Amino acid sequence: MSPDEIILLRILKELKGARLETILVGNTACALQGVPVMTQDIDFFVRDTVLNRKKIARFAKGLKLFISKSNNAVGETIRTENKEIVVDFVFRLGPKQTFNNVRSRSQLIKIGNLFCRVASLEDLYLAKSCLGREKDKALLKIIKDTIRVKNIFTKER
Amino acid sequence: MNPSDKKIIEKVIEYRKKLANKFPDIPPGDLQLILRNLIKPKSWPRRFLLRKIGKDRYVP
Repeated sequence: MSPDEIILLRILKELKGARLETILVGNTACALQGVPVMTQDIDFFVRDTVLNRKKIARFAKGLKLFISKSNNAVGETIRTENKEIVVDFVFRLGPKQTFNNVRSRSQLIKIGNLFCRVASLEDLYLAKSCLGREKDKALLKIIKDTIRVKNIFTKER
Repeated sequence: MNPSDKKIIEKVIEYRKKLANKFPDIPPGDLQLILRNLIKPKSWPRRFLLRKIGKDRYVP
């Protein structure tokens, strides 16, 4: 496993320990599905419940992460971080992307001995396009290109 | 280079050449990276995190 996979596995173990149901989104989710991108943080989509917020606090405590909150284009984000790891929790994606809908289209990707639920590239594209951020323009194209190539490639292989 | 790694890279290049005419709008370098990510075996390390090592300086 690469150092990045080891970090992700540590995070997944702690999420499992906190019994927090998550869907991996953002650039890490893109990268795990073949999109040639890199990132500085790991983003998870979670249901917005009081219990889940407590579980996020438990997760952060387990990994000794500092918690902060911010409001951005997708609404409230809870950021948990230390000098090595930055993990964000978002409660909303695009306007029509409920947790259950995104979950139903997601897939499980194995990291070490654990499975990580990862949002589909189509949902990741939709979520990014709804944000309308300038910095995502190049990323949107490369996600779309990967979806196209993946579709043809799996047929032709 | 490990012969099996070389074989995989050659396969990626072969697919890139084969699919290039279907994706004329995708730069060949990007197409090759996408195909590499789709083809590469699980034993190849997955890298996706960047670390900031100074002002505007990042490393994988």
